[in-house]
Amino acid sequence: MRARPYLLLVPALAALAIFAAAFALFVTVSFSTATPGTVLTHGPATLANYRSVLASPLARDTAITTLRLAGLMTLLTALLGYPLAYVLARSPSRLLRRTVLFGLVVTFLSGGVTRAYAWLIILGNKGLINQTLVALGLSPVKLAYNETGVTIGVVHFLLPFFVLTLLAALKNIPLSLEEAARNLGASRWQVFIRVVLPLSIPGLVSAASLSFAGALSAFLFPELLGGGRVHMASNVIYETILTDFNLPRVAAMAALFLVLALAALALLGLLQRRSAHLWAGAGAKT
Amino acid sequence: MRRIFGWSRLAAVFATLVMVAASVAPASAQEKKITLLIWSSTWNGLIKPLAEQFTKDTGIAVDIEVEASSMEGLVKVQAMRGKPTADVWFTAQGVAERAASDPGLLAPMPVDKLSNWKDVILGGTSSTFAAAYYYPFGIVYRPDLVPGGKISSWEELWGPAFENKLALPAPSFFSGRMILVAAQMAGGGIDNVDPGIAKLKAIKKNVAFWFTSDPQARKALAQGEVSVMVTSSSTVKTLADQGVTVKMVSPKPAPIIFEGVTILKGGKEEMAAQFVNYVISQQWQKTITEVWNMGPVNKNVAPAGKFADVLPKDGDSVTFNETTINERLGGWTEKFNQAIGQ
Repeated sequence: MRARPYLLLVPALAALAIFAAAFALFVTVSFSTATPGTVLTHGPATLANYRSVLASPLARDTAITTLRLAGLMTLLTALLGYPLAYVLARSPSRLLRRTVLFGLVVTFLSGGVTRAYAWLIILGNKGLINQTLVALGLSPVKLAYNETGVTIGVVHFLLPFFVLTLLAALKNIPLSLEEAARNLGASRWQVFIRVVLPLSIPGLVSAASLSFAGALSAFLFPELLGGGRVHMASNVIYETILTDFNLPRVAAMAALFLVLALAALALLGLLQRRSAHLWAGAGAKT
Repeated sequence: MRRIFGWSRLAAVFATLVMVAASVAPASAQEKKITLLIWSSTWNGLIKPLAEQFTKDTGIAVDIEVEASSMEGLVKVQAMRGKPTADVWFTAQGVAERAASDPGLLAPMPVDKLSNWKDVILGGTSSTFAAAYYYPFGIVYRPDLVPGGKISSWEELWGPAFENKLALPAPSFFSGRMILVAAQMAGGGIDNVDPGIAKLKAIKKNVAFWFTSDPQARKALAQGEVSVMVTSSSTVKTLADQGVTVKMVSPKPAPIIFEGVTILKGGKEEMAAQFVNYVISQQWQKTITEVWNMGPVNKNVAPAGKFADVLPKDGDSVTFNETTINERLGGWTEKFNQAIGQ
């Protein structure tokens, strides 16, 4: 009888099994060899694809660019997202809270392609910003089809995920702690710096980890806003499969990028656990 | 809650699903319907009304699945190997050739049953491919936005007047033709594209973006974000329909590209062959050249006047070995990305 509730896990386990099988197949392919100019692959098992990817300057540069941009995007998302989450958690103004939430939900619900094209209208050579600059007698700036455009697009995409994750952590901080600090003479700024911020760091790291994972796997915005110049992992994998059609090599490339992403996320996970111990006490959970 | 998830209920639900599936499956197998794997712009701008006529004539309904590019189509075709959800695949000739290397993907063209096969121009067919049209790969531009209102050569695009004004195709688009054109201009060729990649690196300042999406680039040209797009002749028609005046020139070297149809192995080869025969028919080819501004592959159809205007001059056109491109495009792309990356 007790086993029955576990039946509810069956669909999830089945889905996981399918994902695992697909991944296993994908890794298996990475050890085969492509027949040049065709869609066929053959054995025997080899590490040549991994050696080829590791020796590729493009793959190396892509890994560096992806990690660098994902880090920058996460940092910018945190800088923009923290105040928004704080407003949502603590602002006494219902109107302000609702306005911020509405803005985030609209962002959340609008499709990625729509947002990318909207950013092109704003950031393009003849976009709103450049038209304004020209009208003011200034020179236009290149905001789209480069890393700037991609960063803006991805940060906008990540913001709701970050804010809503951090919001839960901020709401878990007892208001009484802030009130006690205020009663003991701390200014609002001191309360924030010495009470709220330290206690929110585990939540901040969780939200940042989620954002970092989203930035690492960004595809649409680099594709549409990168102008073919911004090489992030997903886009390079996609382009390589469309031009080289060497499935084993692409599989090896994707596997290596995945390992790199998992290593980066493991590092963030470690940071999250450390921060929980340091700032929120040994028993803290995020 | 326990009763809801009782074994008897689960078994009943499962049995119902099995019965429904069993009752639907034979009907599907009998269905007179084919599915095209096709680019959305080609479907909406050209094939949709023709397919309606095909359905009226033959009783075979036509459904579609969308591919973003020929190469993405190949990935899909390979993924559904043996049990394809599409029956006719629109693709570029070179990609069809690559797909044909896998004997499990494409059905041979039943030449004897295709009454219009004999009328297809030289180079437009293979054992698994029938061209639907051809086009020159050239320069589409806004005359109101370029100096003097006219472009005559590829070399002009390297001039300072075009700084941040060009939309050029990434190597995955048109199977690396941009690299090959630049290579020929710089004294290289299909066997040595390095001079071409260096030449493209020299144009970096002029390129607003390297596109992997036709609609994105067309939109940018329509909005004046860029004044030049290097692409196919169908863009002229598409933009004219939107009220945007553009011109096209196909200077030397002007690659000629065939795109067309293949039949996927999946049990509906006969119905798919009927569709292919319509594609290469005089009637459809006339529409293709007049409506879509592409070159007709049926010998009995003359290129429409507007299309003839954008064709390269005698001696300016060039074709490339698709097998060589298939073998080398990946390497070229990697070098290109290294050269032009930010």
